[in-house]
Amino acid sequence: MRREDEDRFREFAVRQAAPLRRCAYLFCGDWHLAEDLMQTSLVKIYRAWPKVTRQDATGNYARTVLLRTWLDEKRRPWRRSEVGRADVPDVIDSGLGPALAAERSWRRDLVHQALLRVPPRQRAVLVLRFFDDLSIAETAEAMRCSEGTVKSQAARGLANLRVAMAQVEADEAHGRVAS
Amino acid sequence: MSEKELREGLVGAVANEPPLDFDPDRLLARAQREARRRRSLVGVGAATAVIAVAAATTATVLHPADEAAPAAHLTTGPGTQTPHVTTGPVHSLAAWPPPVREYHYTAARENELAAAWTSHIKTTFGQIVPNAGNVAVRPWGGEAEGSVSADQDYLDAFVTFTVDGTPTAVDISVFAPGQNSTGPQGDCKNPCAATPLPDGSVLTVDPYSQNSVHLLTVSQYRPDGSVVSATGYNYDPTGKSSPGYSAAVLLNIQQLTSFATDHAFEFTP
Repeated sequence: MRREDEDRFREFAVRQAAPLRRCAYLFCGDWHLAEDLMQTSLVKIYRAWPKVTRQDATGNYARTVLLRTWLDEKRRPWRRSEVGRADVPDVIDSGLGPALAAERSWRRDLVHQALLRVPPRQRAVLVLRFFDDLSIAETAEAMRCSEGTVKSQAARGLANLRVAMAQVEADEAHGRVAS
Repeated sequence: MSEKELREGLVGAVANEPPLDFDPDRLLARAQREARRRRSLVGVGAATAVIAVAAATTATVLHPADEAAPAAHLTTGPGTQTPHVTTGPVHSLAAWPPPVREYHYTAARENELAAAWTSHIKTTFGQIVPNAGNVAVRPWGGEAEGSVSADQDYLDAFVTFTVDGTPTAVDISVFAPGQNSTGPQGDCKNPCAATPLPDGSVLTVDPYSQNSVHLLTVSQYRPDGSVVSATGYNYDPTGKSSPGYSAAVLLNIQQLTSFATDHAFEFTP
């Protein structure tokens, strides 16, 4: 690879590392695995870099590679188990009273726990649409499916998320830890 | 739940993000190292290649596996060598994914394929694993066993069986053309070995070991862009209780290759 291409890739990697890791964490629920997925995705992008740089939306391409890397990882026969419960955030929103802040913190934690119970492709649609703010067309491109599929997967994903949230709340009420 | 609440929940979920210790130079070094290794993949693993090519040839005619062949260990012994075939189209390693036409698969069609593959396995399993007992094909699915939906571009299933009374299973995964974008270059990392076959496909043999667990996956990356994988285990991955582990994977490379190279497993629209 030419020196200037390497420099451009280095800048791209530095810019994308944190957002990709966050996205990966929402997919898999484990910061260590998220870091692995981010690094592996960047290595794959490096291999295809001359082709990638001809594309307009390199960030979206990175999401595609990350998504594929994660789905491939899940499909490996010795699938890694996922962490079903994220750590409770240490940071409390200081702009709220203690009760409200705790409530909001619990609510956010609940969303992620429930998200990890949603089937992977539906989960990916929800993350790409509502966290990465990709349009339906961009999400379809990242997931290599039709826009209609994105819409139906998002609808199913939201429905499943609601069910999962109710289940997580019920589990917590019974003192069980989601797995 | 509103979209706003979902967005807030997702942002909040990453609020406790640990510090990122990202070194771009280290990443570049790793990427360059892997690129070099990929380039050398063509010539790597001669002994494994010999066995894999011979096994694929055997599998093409669905010849029963050699009962004297050793259970799959993660090394290859000289005693199993056969005539060397070196005429594979090497360029296929670097040309993944091949251009494919995108198809839409209905759930009904996928269920048809699944039913046909189940019948096929029931017919041929005994030829490939002559000492198997209690053979049963579990439901084909994707994200979950039995889960089949429209436009799902892969199906997998466990075939459970016993070998001398020991329960185990083989996982068979069939990926539609275009589903796999990474190819053998991306998927097959040391100690995995890749071998181009005369028909233009690439065969990979990928061992995995961790503590008592041993797995062996043989995959065929086919010229049409489809991939078929077969994974053998040294335990029963479908069991509901704590498994007992055998010393080695209970299927050998030839047997797994027979499944992976069986063209009955084709994802057709």
